[in-house]
Amino acid sequence: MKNRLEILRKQKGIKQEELAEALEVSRQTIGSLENGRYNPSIILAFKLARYFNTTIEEIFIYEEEKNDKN
Amino acid sequence: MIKINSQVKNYILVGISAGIIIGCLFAIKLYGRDIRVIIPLVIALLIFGHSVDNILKIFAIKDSTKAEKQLKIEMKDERNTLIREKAGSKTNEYMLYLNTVIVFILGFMGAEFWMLCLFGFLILAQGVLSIFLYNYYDNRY
Repeated sequence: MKNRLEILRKQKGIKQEELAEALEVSRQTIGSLENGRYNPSIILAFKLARYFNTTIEEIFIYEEEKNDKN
Repeated sequence: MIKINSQVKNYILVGISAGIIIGCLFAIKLYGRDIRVIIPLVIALLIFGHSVDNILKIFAIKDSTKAEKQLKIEMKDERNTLIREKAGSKTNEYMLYLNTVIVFILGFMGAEFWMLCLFGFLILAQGVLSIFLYNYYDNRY
């Protein structure tokens, strides 16, 4: 699953640490989300959407994968 | 009922377990290695280790509320939870293989029958527990 998290975060001018603190997750989680290595829970996805004042679909782009490793 | 603070409880447990350890070591010195002394000694050592670990943890984060908050976040973090669960699952799988290999090695080494049964029971218990916990969480979620 692709996402626009890094773009949105940079647009807002905040660091990964600051976003992590606001959402009460670890900085590594934000890093993994931005790299696309980790897919968030629905709760975290809603938190992110609320934080950036947008919708989940605007942040995460769902693509059907042939070999889903998760 | 008196509610005991968790830190005080840890200190009490350390004291009691240390007392039992000293008592057991004294008993071993006097009467030799006896199963009735070894069992409480092992239990007391486990309690001692666990309580000391808890005390040290509290000391490490005592003066830093920021560190305490960060620790809570790290514990609750969903990615960390996923990693912990995956690591636990893989550990369970590898331990099952390892125990099986140990049983074979012991068998070829000519170990006593009760020892093989003990390890066999360990493998069985691990399998049964896995199925039981799977069903438990399957019904819960």
